[in-house]
Amino acid sequence: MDSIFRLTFLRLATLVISGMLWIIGDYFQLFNPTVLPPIQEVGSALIAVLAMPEFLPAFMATLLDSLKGVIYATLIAVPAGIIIGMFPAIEKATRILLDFGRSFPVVALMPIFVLIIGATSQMKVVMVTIACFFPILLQTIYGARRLEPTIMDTVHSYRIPFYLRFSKVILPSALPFISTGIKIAISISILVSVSTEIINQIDGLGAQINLSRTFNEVDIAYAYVIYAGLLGVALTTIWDQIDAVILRWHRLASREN
Amino acid sequence: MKAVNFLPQWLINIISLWTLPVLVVVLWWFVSADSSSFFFPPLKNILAVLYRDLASGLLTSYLLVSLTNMCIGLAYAIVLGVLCGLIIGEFRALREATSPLINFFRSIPPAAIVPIVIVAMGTDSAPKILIIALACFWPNLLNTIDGVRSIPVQMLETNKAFRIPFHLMLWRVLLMGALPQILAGIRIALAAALVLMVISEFFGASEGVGFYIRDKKETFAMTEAWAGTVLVGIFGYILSTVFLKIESWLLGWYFQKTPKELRKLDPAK
Repeated sequence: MDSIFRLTFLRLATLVISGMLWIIGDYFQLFNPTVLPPIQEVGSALIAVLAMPEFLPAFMATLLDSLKGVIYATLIAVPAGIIIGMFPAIEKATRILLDFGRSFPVVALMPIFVLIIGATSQMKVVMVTIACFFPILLQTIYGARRLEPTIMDTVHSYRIPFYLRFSKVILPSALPFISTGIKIAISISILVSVSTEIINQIDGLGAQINLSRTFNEVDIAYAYVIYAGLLGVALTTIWDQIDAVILRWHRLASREN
Repeated sequence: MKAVNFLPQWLINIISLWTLPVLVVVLWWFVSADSSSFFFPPLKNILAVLYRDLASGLLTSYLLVSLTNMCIGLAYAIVLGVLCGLIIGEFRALREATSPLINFFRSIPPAAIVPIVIVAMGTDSAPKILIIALACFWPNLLNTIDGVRSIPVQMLETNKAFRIPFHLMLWRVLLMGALPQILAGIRIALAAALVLMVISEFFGASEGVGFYIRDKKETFAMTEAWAGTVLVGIFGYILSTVFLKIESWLLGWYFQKTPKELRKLDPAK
């Protein structure tokens, strides 16, 4: 019990100290108020924003488009990743393309996509899908390749048919890695959604940040920034819970070791 | 039964690695060769434009500006992130106290503050460097903290037993012990830096590769927009490849394996 009190105290103290630093810095005008407004303004904006009619639609737009992108990316990347991971020849042949894809900043494609698709939420979903595709794909390949040799030999000696090998052996053993890939993809999806919205004024939290900034309401803009961050935290926390349920067998086994 | 190898192993390696990428480029070249579509100009024209603007010095100077911003931002982030990470990682109380705060700040999408910072600070280099540094700070900090925590307890106790002075311990034990994770963090930061470099130049800039792409898009010069995008892609690939080489060179002592063996273990490398 004692250690929990200590921890809570420490964490509260850190929050208070950082808040104090913000107030002191503001008092002595160390920060440019157009870059970092005073703490009380941002605090009240956090509550004020919730009552605004445009908040909920913007929040939902960002949330839904990000999720759509993650789901599409998962549906494409997982089968592709398992096939690539199962056959070393394919893995080798695709390695350079994949290295290129994962080091490619997807946002650079934005202007081209805006011209081809237009500045719509559809285009946002396409951007998110491409950005989430690579982390999930790479994790899946990694997972599919980590099968233990003994299991592989057993599968071979019993001549387990291909579809069973796929669904009962490789997919379950790759699942923990796929789950990690999806978790990475979720935080990437929010990032890509928000930046797409900011640059192209597509409905969502990003567009609201941009609008509030244009109207010189920096505190409101910060409130939207904070909610975008909280959205990311909430989604990854929810995914952790889902992960704990669907991968209970795996997490329990790895804890015993 | 094993097929008889007519070719030396290294040649087979090169062929199996490069066949598909070359095929993709060749396919792109020929499929797009007669393309009259406004959106998908022939690859030949894209490369010709890329060469023209690189040779004329326009794109080269833009590239230099972009990369300078990126390197300065990244350098700030690495120095601050690693230094703070070593200290936070070393003291348990500090680590526990700051973890919720760090987790919160890390989850804020750095692109979200681009409009705030750029509108307030103008369109020159300083706001871009600030944004890149901010985005790269968190992966560096978090990985350094993890790296320090992964140092075996025995090693730290040996340090205490021999009363190794703090500054020596900081540089020779903590930094070296955490180096594998620190480099992994820099790799993540490198990707983030590239993304933020492009986004900040899309938003408000008068020079830079991102500005080039956006400007050409605005004037509907599709071939030029493609050329800029291709250039960013090539640079992303070169940067991450060069960094991997540096990493395996710096960490030879840690892996104690040839890079070839490592690649077998981890396709992500």
